[in-house]
Amino acid sequence: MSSLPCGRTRDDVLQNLDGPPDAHELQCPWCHDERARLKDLDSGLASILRTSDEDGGNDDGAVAAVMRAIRENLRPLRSTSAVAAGSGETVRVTSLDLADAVRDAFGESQRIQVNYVDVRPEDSAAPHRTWRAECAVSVTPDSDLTEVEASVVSQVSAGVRAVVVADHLIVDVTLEDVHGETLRHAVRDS
Amino acid sequence: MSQGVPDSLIPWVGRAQEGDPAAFEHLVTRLNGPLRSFARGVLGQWAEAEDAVQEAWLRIWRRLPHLKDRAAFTGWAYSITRNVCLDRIRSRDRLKADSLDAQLLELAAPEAAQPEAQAERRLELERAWGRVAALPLAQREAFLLVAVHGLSYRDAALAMGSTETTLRGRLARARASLTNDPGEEATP
Repeated sequence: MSSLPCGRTRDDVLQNLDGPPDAHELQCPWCHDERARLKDLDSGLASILRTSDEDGGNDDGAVAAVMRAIRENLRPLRSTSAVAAGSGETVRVTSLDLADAVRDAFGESQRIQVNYVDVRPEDSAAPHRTWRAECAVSVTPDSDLTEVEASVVSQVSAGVRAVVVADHLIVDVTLEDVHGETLRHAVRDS
Repeated sequence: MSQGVPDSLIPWVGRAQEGDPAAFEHLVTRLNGPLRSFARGVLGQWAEAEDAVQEAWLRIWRRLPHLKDRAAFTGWAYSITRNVCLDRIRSRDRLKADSLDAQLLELAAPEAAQPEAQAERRLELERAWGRVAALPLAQREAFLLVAVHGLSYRDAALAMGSTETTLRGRLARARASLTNDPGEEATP
């Protein structure tokens, strides 16, 4: 463990290398110099190791190989008996059909980013007519959450009802910030 | 994705959870290179890293519907990749210096046919990987995740199944070793 003339050690500087310098370091020339030296060594080595990524071969080929394996292992989608919105006929819809319809209802919204949609039947009798839609969205920091929540309920309702008949629809809304932290959660009837 | 909200992986993760392979492909495209590089750092060779990451992606795909915190996807993906790598290390009993030997051989093999500048670069890389490979595994992982791959302490700790405090200690010890203080003792 190397001691610096100020009484601190190199380990003290290393412990906080990724954070901002503390009050002592800001006014201590030895800590300041040691931080700069360690930062240079650290970033120099990391940079060399990062450039070695190109030695790993063609990433496009690797991605294609991964996706071939994924497509051989696709999960079966949940399929549900429902009443088609247009024709009134009994049809089977997949979870992805319903999620697509909800996402389509949001269109190219500038304020709301749809993160996750899951629509499931709530009643036991098929074809199902009561649904529960879980919808998580990210919103911009300046958004009015009450307004966004109402908009999400409305868009989810429009999306689900474009595909299936829903006598009763429960919308489980989660509003998140751009980092995925929950800002508000609400359950609304539609 | 909408323009008002900054680009992030979260909606792609959600869409992939819904079962859309195209969204999953976006995630693979974004993260395959970094995960492969991380696996190479842990395992010591590109060829094995390639196989390990492919196995990791299959695990990620199968477990994705159960991921609750979509924002934690990156750390979670590193965690699964790390576990695959550790399984391979355990099963092949490669925790010791042969990993370093193998990677040095791999780097050195094509040297004879290289122009001078490329050979110098390989030598620099060889030295860099050699220094990292000489670290105890836990310190090596901490350094690779934070310093090389730029993960936050939170995501790196998640990937390693440890606390941020433990990660911070391992990272500091790794950096102490890498800055070559002869008085430092290597501890995991």
